[in-house]
Amino acid sequence: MLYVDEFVYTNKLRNSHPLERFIFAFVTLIIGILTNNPLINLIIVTIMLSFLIYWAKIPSFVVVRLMLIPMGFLVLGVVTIAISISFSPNDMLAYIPVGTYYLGITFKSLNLAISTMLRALSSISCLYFLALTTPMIELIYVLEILKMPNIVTELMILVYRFIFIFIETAFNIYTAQSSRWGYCNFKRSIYSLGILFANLWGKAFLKSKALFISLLSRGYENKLQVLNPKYRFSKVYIITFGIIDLLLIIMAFI
Amino acid sequence: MFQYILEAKKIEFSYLDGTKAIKDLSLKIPQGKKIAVVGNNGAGKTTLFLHFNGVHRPQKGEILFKGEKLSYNKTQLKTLRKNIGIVFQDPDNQLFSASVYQDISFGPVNLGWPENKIRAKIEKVMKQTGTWDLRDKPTHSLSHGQKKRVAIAGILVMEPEIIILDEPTAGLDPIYTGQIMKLLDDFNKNGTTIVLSSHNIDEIYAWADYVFVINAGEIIAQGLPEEVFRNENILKKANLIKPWVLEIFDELMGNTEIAEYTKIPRTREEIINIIRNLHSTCN
Repeated sequence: MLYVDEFVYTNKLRNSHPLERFIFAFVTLIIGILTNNPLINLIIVTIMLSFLIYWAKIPSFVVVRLMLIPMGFLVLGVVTIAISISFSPNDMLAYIPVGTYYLGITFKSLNLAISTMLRALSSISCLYFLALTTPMIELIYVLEILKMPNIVTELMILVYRFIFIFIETAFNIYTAQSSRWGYCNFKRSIYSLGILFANLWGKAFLKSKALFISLLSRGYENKLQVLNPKYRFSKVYIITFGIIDLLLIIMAFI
Repeated sequence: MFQYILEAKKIEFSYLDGTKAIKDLSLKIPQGKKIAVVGNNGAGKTTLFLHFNGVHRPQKGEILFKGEKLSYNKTQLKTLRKNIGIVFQDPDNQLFSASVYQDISFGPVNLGWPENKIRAKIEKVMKQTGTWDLRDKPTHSLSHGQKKRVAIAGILVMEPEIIILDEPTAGLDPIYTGQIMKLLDDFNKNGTTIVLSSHNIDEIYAWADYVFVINAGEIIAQGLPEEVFRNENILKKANLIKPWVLEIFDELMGNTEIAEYTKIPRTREEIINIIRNLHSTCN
């Protein structure tokens, strides 16, 4: 997760207003869900992945690996859709007889399975497009524009920052422990891990207290208000995204 | 006679666990000066600093800002924290946002300045502190020194009358240490009072106008750096080491008759000049 985060901050699509990418990903996602044409879904997957690899310059192995993560669930789900039970094997493409029943794949169920799979893949690729081109801070900014309640965005800002401090602290404790043979065998590993977690909680408590003090010192009054850098809208991006979505809508619904 | 911007009068403070962090401590911070607070770890420096902007409240005694006693009501605390900026020792405790720009903007937004003024100010301070190039980077990918500079920028941008820095140069390399000290000097020339704590005695000796030595929650000495750091008793009591420039100068004074060089050197350059002059008079 941390590893992916680095590519997000250096991706080449970052230099324009995050709202453009947000709307593009969202509109394309909805087109992909509403359409009944699997070809459209396939086109969406192709567009999103090629944008990520060739435009945003995210290494292809990262993109492929990320796409593989939900594959396991997807295949399992789709297989259960594809297989149906029937009394007669008449319209089945392939089947196994189980007692008096037949367990097999029909043309209809296969079609449904494939279109479900492609629809899911196109949705995933749209979300990955957003997640890999828009750093969390900019995503929070978009949510602010969309009038998300303050308390939610404030929490997101703090949680996102502290995930990294938390992991860094845990990692430092782990390194200190393992360099003194804290994880040499199973028994010691359990013991060391226990100490690691106990320490993490204590540290998290102290950190939050220290943060509160430093926020107070900077005039904090129950509201975490900040300014964001000025993002510029890019004509090129808006036109490209607009044309693609328009073409997809025409192909899918007209 | 200076005008004192900040005063502590016989303050006392202990933490909930009973540790007495400050004992009967009094000090006066003259306006527009460069003040250093030195002392070993756990001497009470950070606790003292947190009294200055009203985060801690003394259990006895009082704090005065510009001659006015702190009453700890909301409006007064607000003006106090606007005018006294504290840079904390661990930047990870100060930087709450993953965005450098957002974090620096936090203080000025709280002050309620118009957006244009804030943006212009942020850009200026970020350029001064060398953090402008970091504006697109996430906080967690910065090095310790970079985080420290962002934390300092987040305070400088608020234009406080007093800037308090808790070990600002700990963990910075000599180049950045020099840059930070130079930057603080620039702010000082524009009238800002600077208070800092440090373990780097040589750096303090070269930089400070006035020094407070704090030990076990008490001020055990104060005065000009060349006076305080010459007092062996104080140095011993506070676990401090004499600045090397002063050490060498005193050694020279003992061996040769250079009493006419009455100006005591403060920096590396000054002592080198004295040694060079010595050479030329010998020849």
